[in-house]
Amino acid sequence: MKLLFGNKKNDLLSLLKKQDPAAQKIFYEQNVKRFLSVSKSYVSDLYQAEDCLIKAFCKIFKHIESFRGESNLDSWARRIVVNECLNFIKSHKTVFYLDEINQSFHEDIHEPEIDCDFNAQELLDQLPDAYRMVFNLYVLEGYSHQEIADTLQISIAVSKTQLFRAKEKLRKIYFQQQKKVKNEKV
Amino acid sequence: MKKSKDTIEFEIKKQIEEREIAPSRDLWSEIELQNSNNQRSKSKMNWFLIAACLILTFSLGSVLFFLNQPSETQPELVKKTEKNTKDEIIKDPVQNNAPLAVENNDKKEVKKPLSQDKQEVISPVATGQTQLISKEPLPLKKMDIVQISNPKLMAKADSIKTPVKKKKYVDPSTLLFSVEHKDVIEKTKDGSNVATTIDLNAR
Repeated sequence: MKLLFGNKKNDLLSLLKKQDPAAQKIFYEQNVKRFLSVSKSYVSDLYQAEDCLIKAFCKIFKHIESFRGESNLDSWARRIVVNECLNFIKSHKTVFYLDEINQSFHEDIHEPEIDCDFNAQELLDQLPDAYRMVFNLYVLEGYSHQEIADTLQISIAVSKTQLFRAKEKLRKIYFQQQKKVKNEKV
Repeated sequence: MKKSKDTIEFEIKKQIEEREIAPSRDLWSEIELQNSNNQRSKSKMNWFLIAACLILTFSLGSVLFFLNQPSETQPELVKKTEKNTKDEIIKDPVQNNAPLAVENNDKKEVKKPLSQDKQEVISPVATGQTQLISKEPLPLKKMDIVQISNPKLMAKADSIKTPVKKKKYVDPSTLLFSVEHKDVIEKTKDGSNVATTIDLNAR
């Protein structure tokens, strides 16, 4: 009752550490929709994204005692969700990372103006797994290339290449979609 | 200059951050189920660990307990070895001295060498035992020696066994002797074989 009305994070954390089922359910209800959105951005299939989320929540509740409180509980839990999604992709799919490209390509990016009326999930779903993982880690999670390289066990140069190609691909897909919309209107 | 707000990446991030997706199925029930399974497996593991520790402690304790009691365990081993030697002794004289019994010599003559042989055979074993059983109490030794040094029983056992066996072969030396002294044998009308009086094994 105290949790429902007071909603204090410290109380919730202490109860989660005691493996209290009520506290676990409250934490689940607070975060499930947001975490499913995150999971869906990595794993395009909803059912598989939900499976990843189930595993992630189980890990969160199991290893909650290892949470030291240095960072926010939500961001710690989100990191577990992301890691679970990455593990799923690694174990269920063959991911190919393309070779490195020259540094000059990274700098020469033409960025035309865009409209905001597009579906981000549609764009992400069309990206290959390797591109999507690097793009999401860099753009959504705010990882540095060093962190991405450590997480995915690739070199920093490959991480940069993947990000460059991912952005390029997204732009292509976006403009193709815009063309289709214009043609439909005409 | 283009602002970061205008890029596709920023728009994607904004959309994903603001988005909330409701699960299509009851995820909580599955999470609860997996949690309960994990807890059960944890408790099971704990029980297995406790059981394994108990078994280990008991086994180690029992091993140490039996190792620290040499007076009871070692004599058994020695007795077994003695029994084996006895069996060997019983078997060996039958094989070695079988021709002696067949040759219808006096039992007393047969018994004596047997007992001597036994003593000769037993003595090295016995000396070996004395070295092994140096820590043993004395009464056990006496019992063993008394058991082994009972020649009558051994001789009886031999006398019982030996007549049952029949000579199925002709000794080559007797055959040669009979051929060489054919005339002498023919002269004896009693039917008694000359070869029987000659102890060929006495060579």
